[in-house]
Amino acid sequence: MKRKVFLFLPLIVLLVICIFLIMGLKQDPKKIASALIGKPVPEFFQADLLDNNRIISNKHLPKQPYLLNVWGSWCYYCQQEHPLLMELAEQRIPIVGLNYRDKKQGALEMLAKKGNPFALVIDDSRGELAMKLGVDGAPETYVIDENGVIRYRYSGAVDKTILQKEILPEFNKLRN
Amino acid sequence: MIPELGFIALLIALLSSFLLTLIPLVGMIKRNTNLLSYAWNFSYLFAIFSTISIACLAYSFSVNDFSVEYVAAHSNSQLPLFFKIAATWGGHEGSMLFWLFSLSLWTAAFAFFSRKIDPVFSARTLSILGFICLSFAIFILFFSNPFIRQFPLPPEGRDLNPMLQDIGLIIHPPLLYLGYVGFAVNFAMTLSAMLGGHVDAAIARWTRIWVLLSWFFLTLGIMLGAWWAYYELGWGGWWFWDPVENASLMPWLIGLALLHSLIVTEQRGIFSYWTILFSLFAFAFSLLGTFIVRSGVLTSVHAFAVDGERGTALLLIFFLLTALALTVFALKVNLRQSAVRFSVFSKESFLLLANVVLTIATVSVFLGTFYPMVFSAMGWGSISVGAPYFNSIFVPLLLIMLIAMVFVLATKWQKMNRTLLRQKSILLIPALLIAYLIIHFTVRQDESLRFHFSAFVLLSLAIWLLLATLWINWRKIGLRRSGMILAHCGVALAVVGAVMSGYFGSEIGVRLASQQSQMLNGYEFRYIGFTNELGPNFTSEKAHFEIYKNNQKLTALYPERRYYEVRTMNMSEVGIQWGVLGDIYIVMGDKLAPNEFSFRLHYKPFIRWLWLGGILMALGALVAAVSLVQRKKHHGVFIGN
Repeated sequence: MKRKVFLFLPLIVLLVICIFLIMGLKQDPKKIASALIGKPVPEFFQADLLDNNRIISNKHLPKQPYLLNVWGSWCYYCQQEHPLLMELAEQRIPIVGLNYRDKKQGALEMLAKKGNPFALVIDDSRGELAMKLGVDGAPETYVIDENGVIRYRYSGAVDKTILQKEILPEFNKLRN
Repeated sequence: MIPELGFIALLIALLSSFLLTLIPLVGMIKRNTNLLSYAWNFSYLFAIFSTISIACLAYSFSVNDFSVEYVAAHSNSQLPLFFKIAATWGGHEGSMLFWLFSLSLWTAAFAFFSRKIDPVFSARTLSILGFICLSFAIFILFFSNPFIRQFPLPPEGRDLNPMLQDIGLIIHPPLLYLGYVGFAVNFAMTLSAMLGGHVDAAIARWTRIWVLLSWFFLTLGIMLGAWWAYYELGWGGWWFWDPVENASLMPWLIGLALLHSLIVTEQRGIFSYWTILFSLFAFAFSLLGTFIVRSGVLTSVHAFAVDGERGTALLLIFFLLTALALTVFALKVNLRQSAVRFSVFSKESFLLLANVVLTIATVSVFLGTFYPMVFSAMGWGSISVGAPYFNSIFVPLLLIMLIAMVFVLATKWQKMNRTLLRQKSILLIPALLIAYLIIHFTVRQDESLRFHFSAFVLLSLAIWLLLATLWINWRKIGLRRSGMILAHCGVALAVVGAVMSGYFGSEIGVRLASQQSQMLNGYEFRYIGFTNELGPNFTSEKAHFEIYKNNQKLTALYPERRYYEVRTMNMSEVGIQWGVLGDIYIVMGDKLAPNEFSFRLHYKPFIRWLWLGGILMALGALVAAVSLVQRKKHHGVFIGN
């Protein structure tokens, strides 16, 4: 009889492991999406896309919670999410644009044609700030608090569901 | 039309795997041998349609069909054709399809070579393989379909991750997958044997060749991955104890234990419990590995799909298959305990020791990999288990392993052999001397290096193993024994490479302007300047270095920093000067001023021995597999029990 119990041991171990794996799966994977979460936006000095003679640095960033959107006119998914950013801008949510590895002319054309939702557009034609942020592709959207600390990161195109379920709740947490 | 064709092929593959599972099962219940024989046809059908399906996906890549979402996300019209094809398995959906494809190859291969063995046993094995195929086919269809179209048609694709744009990518994942998936065959065979009520030497003999081949692919895949990390990623290392790496290490360790346990079961009729559990767990760990890599349950430096739904589905497959196997084990396994006696100093005891050590190693990797996850799941905060944990466990285990390996050579079945033991023990003396000299000369090159006692012990044991393995009567060895010799020499060389590069590598981070130079390990690194270059889908800054030793120019190296415009990513290409005694390795960093960059300079002693060792291990397994095939031809062992 004792031997029988012994034979069931591997099965029991497996069950315990699976319970832990389920618990692991339930964790929010987005929490671990960026090593920069909880840290301030890296220091930078870069040109303003709309006025190339002006240099933007950390001190020009909004002094209230805002979104940072990484985009490029070459990027198909960025064009897809653009109308949604326009809606957000109308709701007076400040968005900082990071024009990522783009040609200046193309970027300006896109803003002229589709509207400019950004309070500020950083010209990152060489992807320097994006590198420091750990951007792995456009589009990407960050939620940043009034002290310039990154609170949330979403990689990929934002759609209505993600906006309602993920980004706005994160953003509203900071506003209250 | 082609993507739809691929999708239809996938559906037919799914259907044939369903029939492959069901029809032989019905045949067994109804005792109808006619139905059993359908197992073979359905296996081939499954393989044919899986192949068509993946070929259609590869074709969509080659013609830039960006209306397929998966293609658009992983390719670009600028990408060289070679990489377009490789991009087929560059992302989640495609790699899962590749998983299915390799599973179909193994299933068809087993079907083809099992015609001569016990038909009931083979049909049951095929039916179990069919069930595994079915689970993955369903998974791909519902959670990871690579053939989904999108409208409107994007003008351009997102490009393949530049990290993956390398020859390493083209062969590393397929080799790993072939290895991973191959363990499905011995899993199914073991399960089939247990269901049939016979787990004996004959089954052990049939299983061994499949295990050898899977382990061969897995070893090559892992080695290639380590090499790729070393030379493509520019991190200067080859193993990081990253969850994704551990995912392949666990089935490798268990597979290794299984190989040795199988020999004992076949030759002596003992250790059957070990063999059965190893066989089941080798595949269970492959499934777990797929789950780790594809579910986003663990953080890793490798950026793979993060998707909870897929994770849950993969976990379900892992649970279903493993729980099924272990339940059968608990209920059906009923082994006659053989009354085989062996003394403490015998081959059996040292192989048993190997089983225990390899089990501990696997469990430690498992705990180290999952502990951080458990820790944060319990709400205790977040921690990371890194190299110190794994090293502190693996160094003593490696010590025991090396000693056990020498003693296996020095003993016979059941008893010890005094002459052999004395002969092998004497070899420890030259080994200690050689190890001391190697370390002495390496340390002398660079004043920042110190003599390291644990490195000395490991190195001595590795050299002892090498000498003991090679000190044999060369006229008396057959093919099978030479496989063993190759593999064990491979272990010794790999340990030499790992210990030397791990303990005595030197590295330095510097900022250099043109014409400046830096000394490291007796070499002068002279930075001449840089040029801008254009590649097919990237632009790069290429530095020019000249390496001098004693004022003699040795070579020129050209590390690069590449900008991939489409993916907007930076990658560095390292400059490496290969050498038998060590590599010179340069990684180019950020640009600090107009003609000034930061660089990391490395000297990696004996690192080449590591790759050579890995290749020898894999080769050893291959030779052993070939010898098994030959033996079967000569003796006609393929007669059922």
